Parts: sequence; C-alpha cells; structure tokens
Amino acid sequence: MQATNTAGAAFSAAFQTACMADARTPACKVYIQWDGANWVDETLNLVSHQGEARLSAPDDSALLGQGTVGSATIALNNRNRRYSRLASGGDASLRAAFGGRGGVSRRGVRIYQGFTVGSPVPAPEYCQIFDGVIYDWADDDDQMLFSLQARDRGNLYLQTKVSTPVRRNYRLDEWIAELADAAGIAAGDRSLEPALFTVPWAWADAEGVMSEMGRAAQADGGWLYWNHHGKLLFKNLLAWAGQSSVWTITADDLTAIQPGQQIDLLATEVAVEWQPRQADELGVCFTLDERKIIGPGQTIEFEAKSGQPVWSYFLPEKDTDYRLVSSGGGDMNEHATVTLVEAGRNAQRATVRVTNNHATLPMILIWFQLRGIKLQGGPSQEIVVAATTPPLTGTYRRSVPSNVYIQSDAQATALASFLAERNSRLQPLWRLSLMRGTPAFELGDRITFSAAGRSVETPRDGHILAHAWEYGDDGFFSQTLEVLDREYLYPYSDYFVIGSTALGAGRAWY
Amino acid sequence: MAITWNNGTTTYTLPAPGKTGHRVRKVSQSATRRAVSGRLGIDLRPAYWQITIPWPMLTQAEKTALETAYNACAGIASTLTLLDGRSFTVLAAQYDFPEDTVMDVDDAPFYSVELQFEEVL
Repeated sequence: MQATNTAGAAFSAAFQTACMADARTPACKVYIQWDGANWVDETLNLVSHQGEARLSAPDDSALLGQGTVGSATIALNNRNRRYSRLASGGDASLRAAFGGRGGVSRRGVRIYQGFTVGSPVPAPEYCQIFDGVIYDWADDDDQMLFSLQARDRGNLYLQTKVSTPVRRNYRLDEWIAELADAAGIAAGDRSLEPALFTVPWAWADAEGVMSEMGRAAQADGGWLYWNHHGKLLFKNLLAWAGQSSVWTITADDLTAIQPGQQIDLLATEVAVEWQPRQADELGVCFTLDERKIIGPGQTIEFEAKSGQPVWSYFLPEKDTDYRLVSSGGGDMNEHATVTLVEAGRNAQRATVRVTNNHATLPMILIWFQLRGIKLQGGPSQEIVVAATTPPLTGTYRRSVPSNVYIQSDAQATALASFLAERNSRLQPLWRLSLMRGTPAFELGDRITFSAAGRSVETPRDGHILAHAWEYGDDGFFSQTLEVLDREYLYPYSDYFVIGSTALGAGRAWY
Repeated sequence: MAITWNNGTTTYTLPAPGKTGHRVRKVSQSATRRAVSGRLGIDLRPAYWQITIPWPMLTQAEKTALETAYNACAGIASTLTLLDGRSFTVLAAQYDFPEDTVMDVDDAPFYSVELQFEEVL
C-alpha cells in the first residue's frame, strides 16, 4: 500500500477516510512529457483514464518471473484540435512533438488519482497510479477525442540488448542489478530485494535485458515488474511471508465477488531442469578469418566473437597469438601494440585493439587468435519432486522450462519442492469488484476481504495479483482486484526474512 | 433586457426568444453504485448548467442575426447572458443549428430555431 501522496507527505486522515466514504469527490491529474523533458498537465482535457497492472498471467502465479506489462488508456478532449498534428488550432509545441521522426512514442505519462478532501477549504490530494510511456495514439476526428495507449516503463527497454563479462557466484539480485546497469536503468529507478540463490556462472551476450532479468527472477522463484512510480522491482519468494494485511474489504465495499481457481496448475510432481557449468582448460576461443591492414600510426579495433562464454581472456602475445608483417613480408610484430579493450571484454565477445607504431610502413595482420578459459556446459539435468499428498490420481507433471540461471542441484531441488507443494492443491483466486476504488493499492499487497451473505462469510486474506481501474465516463472511480488466497501460500508464519528477521530467529524456507 | 453572447471579442445581441423564455437545468455528473450489502456509494463531480433557448417564428433577418452570432461563438468558450441577467461560460452543444421553416400566406418564411448550450466548468 502506498504510504505517501504525490506531494511526498503521508496520506492525510481525510484521504484515507475518503477511500471508503459513502460520498466522496474523486480528483485526478494526467501529465504527459510531450517533448521528452517537460511534464505538461493535460487534466483540463481529460475525459477518462483506465489501466491495469498485473504481476503474472492468470495461469501462472506459482513461479512468477517477469510480471506482465502494465498499461493505461487515456482519452483526451480534442475540441480545439490541440492534439491534431496538422490542424492549425493545435498547440505549436505539440505539433512539433507529433511531427518528429518518432512522434510522441515513448514519451512519459503519469496518472495521479485521489480525492478532494479537507476543510474548511477542500483541496485535492493524489497518489500516483501509473507511470509509463506512450506506446500508441489515435485521433478520432469525428468524436474530437484523442486517445493514448501507454505501457509501463519497461517498454523503454524491450529492445535493449546487453553483453556482460562472465560473473562468478553472483546473487541473482546482484546479477539483475548488473543487467540493469548495462541497460542504463539508474540505481534510483530500481529496488531489488536480496535474492535467495547465488548463481555460479552468469553472463549475457546481446540478450534482451527485460527477458534476461525476468529469467533471473524466475530462477529465484521471485517477481520482477515495473510499478506505478516507474521503478523496477524485484521481490524474492518470501516477500509476502511476513506481510500484514493493509486493507479490509467487506460486503459494503464490493459490487461483486467472483471465486475461481487455477485448475491447470495442479500437479502431482514438478520437474525443474538445471544446467551445470564448469570452467574448461585454456584454449583458443577466436581465430581471425581475414587479413587486416593497419596504416602507419593507425589504430584499428575489431570484435572477436566466441561461440562459448569465456571466463577469462589471455592478453594476445606476439608470435603465439598474432603475426603482423609489412607489405614485403617483413616481421612487424615489434612495431605493433595488440591489446584487449577493457570495456569491450564480454563473455562471448572482446574488442581487440591493434596499433601500428611504425612511422612510415603499413602492416598486415595475417594471423590472430584469442585464447581464454571457456565455460563448458554439462548436459542438462532434471530434479523431479513429487507432491507429499498428490491432488489427483495418476501422474500430472508440471515442468519449469529450461532456465540458464538454474545451475545447481540445490537450487533446482528447492524450487521443485516449493512448486510441488504449491501445486499440490487448488490455490483459490478471487476477483473483487470494488464499489469504491482505492488508488493507493500496490501489487502484492495483503488484504483481508469478506462478503457476508455471499460466497465469503468469514474474512480471508490474499495478495493482490492484479488491479484494474477506470475513471471517467460514468463519473465513478472503480477498481477490480484479482487476489490470490493466502491460506495455502505459507503454511507457517515465522519464516526467516532476509533483512528483516533477527539472526537466530525464524524458520528456514526449504 | 436582451440575450447576449460574447465570444471574447464581440458581443452579439440575440433575438428575443418570445414568451416561451428559456430553460436552464443543472445536470449532475455524480454517479452512484450499490454494494452487495445494499450500501450506496456516491462519487461526486461538479454539476453544470444546460441552457436551452427556443426562438419560435423568427423573421429571416432575425434568423440571419442569430446564425451570425452562432457562427462566431459556437465551439468557443463564450459568455451567454440570459434575460434575467445571469451569465454562463458556455459552449454551444453539439454544434447543431436546427431550424424549422414555415411560410405565411404571403410566402414569407418564418424560422423556429432552438439552441442548446452547456456550461464550461
């Protein structure tokens, strides 16, 4: 649950009262970064906004990995053709933004939702419910409406590829941080919980950063997603274990409650594949297949790519690793400096720099090889853990797809054991349609809910897997929550939580 | 007192609407929902005025004057002052200018026009 409003202060008591009040006055703000730098308040033209944030696909809440993409749709009144690129009545600065090569694609969007509260002079108090970027837009000329489709901040990095050196014994959150650094996600724009597992070997070679971080989160049994403040969050598997309920919902607050379950998750056993890795002996990892000519005093760089990850490169040695000659065939090795660029040494590619120190003669690189210690992958192995009490007769196996960050027997066993228990019974899922939306909800929040006279007579607890909101056309700020029942998630209440539980106390998880 | 319509630049005096006067109505934007327990929730939004002015049997000159004002003010947040002195910042709703035409015994046309305005909040 968010604790502070958009002014940076704790929510006022009046705001909290307004969330559940019989009569209240919703207020909202929409800001758009049309030029990519300055936030422009477009609230005056706002017709409606709606959106959704979700931790996982509905059929996969047991091992979440990467959250699904958050989205929002904003409808703006285009009465004065403010948002029409070619209309003379529009705003000149907006016309410039729309007319650029990329239009307003990937420009920032923020939505604040709140209430007008307080006395004697009521004033609006907001909390932020969405931070993302423009994905697409449409101008409805007939209706004079302009609509924006926005996606969460992760959209900025969907096409970002990263390469890294090989890392040894990194905790998975440290690895996610390294990937985030490589993608340019600032430390202030992310919040990563300590991971449970350490991965013996990790590297990236021109990998999509979002999917790679998602895989790392999955290998830890955790979640990775972008929140309403545009921050990248990683939560480990125990993030919910010690959480207290932050909100109570009763029949007075619900327009509908719909029970469900994830029938396809049921399994009698779970298989987790793991991929052992080990360092090989020193060997050749790259051989140059062409000749390169370097003029006098000139420096060239080229990329040496390896089919396998290289843990450690050896600096090229003359005569052993390269041979440079003059155009007449004379030895030029003494006149050259051959080295590896420090920043260019990644797991499967290294940048080689050759400098011709001779003042007058060109040289030809006729042979070059790069040596290093490569990583060898052993054949994939599989851990299969059967449910203590099978939910079905016969064999129903659920498999965790191959994940390069599951590299040890212990890690695979822990994940398989956890999933075997989690999937050995139906996990109830609840869809709560709230009469009054509460904008401060966050994904993962533990809430208590009941609906006397309906399907839930006594209060239950669960965690918010998804929330969708809508404000506008009908004048109501409404919200729908998808809640994973907590009853069977954590059988005990005293787990050791990293960074929270005192040493010597708490129960170890698996 | 006459009805006037000012678009920020020019004040137009509109024809007298006749004995039917004008209609104003405060329109609520608030919405209600009922919980499964029966409890009622209301999300309040500011109400706005909707003003309807019928002009029955305008002469051609009067209709032309009204249309001139309409063309200059419609679609622009403008100030409408009514017969009783109240004024509102309005838009002419839906950009409609509906007119019904009848001819008298001398084949002279008369026009009945009804405009609707919505207050800009």
